[in-house]
Amino acid sequence: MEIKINEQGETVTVSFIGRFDTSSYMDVTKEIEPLLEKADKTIILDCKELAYISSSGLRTFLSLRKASQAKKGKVIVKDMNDTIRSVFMMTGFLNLFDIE
Amino acid sequence: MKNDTNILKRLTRSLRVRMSLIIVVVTALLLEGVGLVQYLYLKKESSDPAALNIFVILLIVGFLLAILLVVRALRNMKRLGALSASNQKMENELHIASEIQMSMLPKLFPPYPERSDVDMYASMIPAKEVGGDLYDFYVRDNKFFFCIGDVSGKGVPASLVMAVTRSLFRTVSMHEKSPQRIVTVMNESMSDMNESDMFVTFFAAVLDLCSGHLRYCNAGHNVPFLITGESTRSLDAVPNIPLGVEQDYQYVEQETDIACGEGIFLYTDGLTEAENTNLDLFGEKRLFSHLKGGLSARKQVESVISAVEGFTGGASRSDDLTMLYIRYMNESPLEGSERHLILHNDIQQIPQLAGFVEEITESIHLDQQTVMSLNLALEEAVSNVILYAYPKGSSGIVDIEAIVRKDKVDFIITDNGVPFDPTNAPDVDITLGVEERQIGGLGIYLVRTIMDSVSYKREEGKNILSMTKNI
Repeated sequence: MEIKINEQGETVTVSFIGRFDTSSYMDVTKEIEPLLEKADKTIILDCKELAYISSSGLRTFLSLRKASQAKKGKVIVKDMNDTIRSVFMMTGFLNLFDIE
Repeated sequence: MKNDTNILKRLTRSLRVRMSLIIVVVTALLLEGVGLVQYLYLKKESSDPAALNIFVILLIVGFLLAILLVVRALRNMKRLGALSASNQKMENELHIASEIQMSMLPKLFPPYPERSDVDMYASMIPAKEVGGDLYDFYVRDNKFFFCIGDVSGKGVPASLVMAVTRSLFRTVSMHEKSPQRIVTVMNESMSDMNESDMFVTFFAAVLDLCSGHLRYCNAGHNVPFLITGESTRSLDAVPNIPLGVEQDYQYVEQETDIACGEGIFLYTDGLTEAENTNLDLFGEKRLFSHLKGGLSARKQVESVISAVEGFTGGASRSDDLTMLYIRYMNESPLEGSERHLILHNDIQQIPQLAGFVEEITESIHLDQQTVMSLNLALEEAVSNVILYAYPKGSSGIVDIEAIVRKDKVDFIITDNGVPFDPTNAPDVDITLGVEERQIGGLGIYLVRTIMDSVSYKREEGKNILSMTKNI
């Protein structure tokens, strides 16, 4: 699992590459943590190259979403494949995010 | 055969040389004789010293020529002696090459006397000292890997490519279980630096001995026959193209299911193109008529061999004759096809689950979505154990057992950790908004959503979580 963070003005794009499973949770959390402070911006979660997600990945997504809600920012989930979309569907996450 | 003809050619050539020498020598001697007679005759009739001189010169030249011819003849004969010695050496070496080549092919039958789920027999009768046909097979992870191939051309060059092909198959198939991948990697390697433009028709297949599921990939080889109890038919196999022709070729893999007692018969064109003395071919029809369900693999192959031998009579074989027959003999496929994965309580081992799920679902035609959700449910259940079952700092294991049945897959997850019943956890409410949504609890929720049944029991100090997915 690899993530790339790209900040441009009021938009932060986080690209997830690979499998977001429980074994990568700790590392990703560390990288994402500073973003919680910037949750007033628009955060784009780019899932184009995200192959798989489990509940630990969903937790990361939800933490960002909660921080953004508190700071009146915005979280957009972009380019999910069918696999990721079905997990979002099962867990009701489709209703929690702006999906593009 | 080619080398035999070479030797023959050399021999006839040497005979021809010897004969021509003898003729030349005899002619020279005859001419000498004629000259001598004429000289003697002329000596009587004329005493012209110029004429006498010419005859003397002729005589001397004739003698010189004769000596030259004899010297040349002797030298040639010496060379011939050396040549036949080197021919003998070459023949010996070819014989050794042939032995090495045959020793590369598994020849011990039955190859797996302890296995009751597969019955197989193979035969290769080379036409020449060294041939270009090959076959191979072995069992790995309850899968029967096998292949057959025919190298273009004949003799030593074909045998070299045959040896390379056979080694490549072994090496590549040790790391790949998809015939399409095996064939593709082999083709990439064989097309690279193929300056002699040799190619190989090849057929690779993997038979899952637990389920009877057969995956195969044809690379321009003769289509094998599928022999069932009632009928024999050609396997549905797209030709693709032979190995070594086009490096980037996209090979197509196919699959089918084989029932207990059914088998797949593979052969090379040396069989169907075997000729009798009238130059008629044995042909697919004749082969077809000799393939019958119910015969043991050895009996079936031997019956085809004797049919071909009866057909060809005394005609010499022009090509290698190779066949193999694999019968699937597992009477209760799928049942008992259980597999284990044992992980330590280290979260970094979680990625191993993906490969495990892929392996167990391979034989049962599941769509990618279902495979992913099984992976997900398993990860949630197993990561729970890894993270919470054992006290921090202590080591423990989690045993994951998967049993694939006809209509469902069972997973049984066992650990020796503290008692914990995940089925007791309260359900998460997925309709809640962002602020009210709980961050935890999603894992168990996913397990319940994905699986058709989930149950927990505590037995002999173990947590046993059973999950079933209907398929």
